[in-house]
Amino acid sequence: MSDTNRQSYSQREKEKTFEKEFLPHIDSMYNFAYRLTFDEDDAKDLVQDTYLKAFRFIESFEKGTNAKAWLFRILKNSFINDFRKKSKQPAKVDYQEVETFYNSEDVDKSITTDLRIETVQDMIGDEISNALNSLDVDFRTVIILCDLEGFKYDEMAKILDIPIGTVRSRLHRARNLLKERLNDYAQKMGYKN
Amino acid sequence: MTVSSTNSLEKGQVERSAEETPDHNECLKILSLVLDQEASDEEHAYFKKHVENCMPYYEIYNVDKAIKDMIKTKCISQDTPADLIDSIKSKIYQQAD
Repeated sequence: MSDTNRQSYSQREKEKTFEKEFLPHIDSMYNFAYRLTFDEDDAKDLVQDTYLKAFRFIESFEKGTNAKAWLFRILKNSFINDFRKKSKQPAKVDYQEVETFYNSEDVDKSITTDLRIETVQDMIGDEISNALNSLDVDFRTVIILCDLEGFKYDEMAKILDIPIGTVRSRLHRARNLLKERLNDYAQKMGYKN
Repeated sequence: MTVSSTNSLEKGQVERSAEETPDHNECLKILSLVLDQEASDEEHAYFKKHVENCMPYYEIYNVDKAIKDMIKTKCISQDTPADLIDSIKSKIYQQAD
């Protein structure tokens, strides 16, 4: 962020902005952090780091803009820079495959799972949650941001530092993978399709 | 892939496609846009004309919508630890002193 966008805050204003604009998002932040790390202590640390950074860099935050998106962006970056390194998890997603998805002939093949609306509605929630958690982190993230937190595509693009077209293709792929997992589950449990 | 080529459909492209047999790829893209409340008026019109009257695509739309609704209602299960806010505040105000 350039210096021209910086705001000047008094200490009191900083604290007021922090409490009124940042803290109300803590439940969403913790839920996101937990679904990234799957560990309560790591999620706590991640959220705490995020809020400390947000306070430290509060002058880069433009009043009246979307505080939640700004916080999610910091949390996502902290996760990539600090936690992913620590956990030594290699990035598993082949983006070439993801990003060319829309242009491929395969697009029709992967849409026809036999999953039916009645089957989805019969699921009790744990199945959905487990299926979501089973996705690779980059696919899991777009679904959380879009479906759970209700971010728009342009906000997601800013949070993730990717073009809107990539948001859309990644989301499309993530949903197909999620449906495949749910379909596998439905078949295992003997739901009728 | 550029932003402008995927961000929204060209108006002319929608109108031209609407006159002809619907392109399945376009149907899928528009289905997602409607689902995520990102569709323009033209895209809504295309959805109404082609997707709502096409059973396989309408079924996909409804399954996607059901999953989206389930995620929204069922995946917020983690209770934020009670001491987290106090811990954050104490660290910040400590720094400020």
